[in-house]
Amino acid sequence: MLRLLYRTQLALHPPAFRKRFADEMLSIFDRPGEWSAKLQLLADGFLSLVRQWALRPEFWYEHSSAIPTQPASDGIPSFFVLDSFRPRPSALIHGLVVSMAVFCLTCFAIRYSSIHILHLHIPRVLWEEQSSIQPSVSPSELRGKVESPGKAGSLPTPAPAIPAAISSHSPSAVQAKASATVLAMDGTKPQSQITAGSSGLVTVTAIQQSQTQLYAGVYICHSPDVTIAITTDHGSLMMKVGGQPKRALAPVSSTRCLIVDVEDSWIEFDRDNTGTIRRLRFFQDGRLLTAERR
Amino acid sequence: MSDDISSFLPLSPAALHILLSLAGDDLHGYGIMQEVARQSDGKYKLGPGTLYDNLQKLIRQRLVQEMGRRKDDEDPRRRYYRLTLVGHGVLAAETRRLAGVVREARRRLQIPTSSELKPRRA
Repeated sequence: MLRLLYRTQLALHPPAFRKRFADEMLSIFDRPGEWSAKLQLLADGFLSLVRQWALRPEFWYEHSSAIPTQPASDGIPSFFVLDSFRPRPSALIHGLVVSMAVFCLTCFAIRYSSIHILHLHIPRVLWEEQSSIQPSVSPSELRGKVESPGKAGSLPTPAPAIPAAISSHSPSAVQAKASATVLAMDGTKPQSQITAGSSGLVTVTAIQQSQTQLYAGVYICHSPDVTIAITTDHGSLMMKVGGQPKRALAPVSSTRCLIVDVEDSWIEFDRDNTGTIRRLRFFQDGRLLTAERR
Repeated sequence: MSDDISSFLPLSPAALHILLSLAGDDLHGYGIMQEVARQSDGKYKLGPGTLYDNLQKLIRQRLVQEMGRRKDDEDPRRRYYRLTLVGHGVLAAETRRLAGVVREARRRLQIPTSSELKPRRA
């Protein structure tokens, strides 16, 4: 009976106080004691009820965030709720200035640090759609209009060019794509171009089928230890690097070939004074390897 | 900091006893009531209503920190409370203030201190 009265008193307290302390007050009431002690607690509870409603309006609806979270078993609270905090405007401005300065310094450090990211302009191959082929121009006509690479301007070894090994494993497929445009760019200057448009002009820099044997061989790179095998297949240059599958090479000049179906990769052959291929440079996945011919 | 602490002074008797009882160890509400009774030789007894009303204020003033429940306690409803560093400072300041009051009272009332009551050897 007395406990019920006490619980009722506690239930009538302001919500914040009740949520926070009612259980503890009831636990004190539940301790064994005499009737007189229980009555004193009832009187104390009544005074507390009056005091909380009459003298403590600031605690009536105290925000729940002020109540600490359930602590961990070791007595350390799981987290704390910070008071609402609003920094001064000057502090915000200072923070903004410092943040921008740090950001600019970081960008500057990245841009001008001693570690530079290798940035190369890799030759790019652009193929026009098959529908753009002029039906009046046959592959044989195209072949007859091929210009010598000397007209391309940047090629060391002039040679009559045939669009034979471009972009495909078989010469027939290459002829089907004779209308394509190959743009090989070294920096900003195109090295060679193969086009077939309404004018029928074809500009090609490539390697003759009969000369592909000059490039075939095994090239060895010692750091890292990589073996690059250059072979010919029906007049087309093929390449095999280590355990990678064999790839076709698409010559874009007498010394440079793109690797078919592998983006941003190329091979460049170096000749000595006698015109013999002595080494090659192989670029793939951002790495440049130099391999000597065995 | 001292200005902040002085703003809490003087403490009410209930607040002073509560802070003093928590100066030794973390205690739950009933433990505080018992400790207050022990400190005052039973002359000052806190009821739960007065105790938690003061605890509510002291927690809000960040003089006391609620530490939550303990699993090994016989009553899982009990929460423990701890004196904060600010609470320590406020209690120390209040003790110094009361010491000054007692010293002045002794001087005015000419009450000898315990050392003055000791008999002098010839």
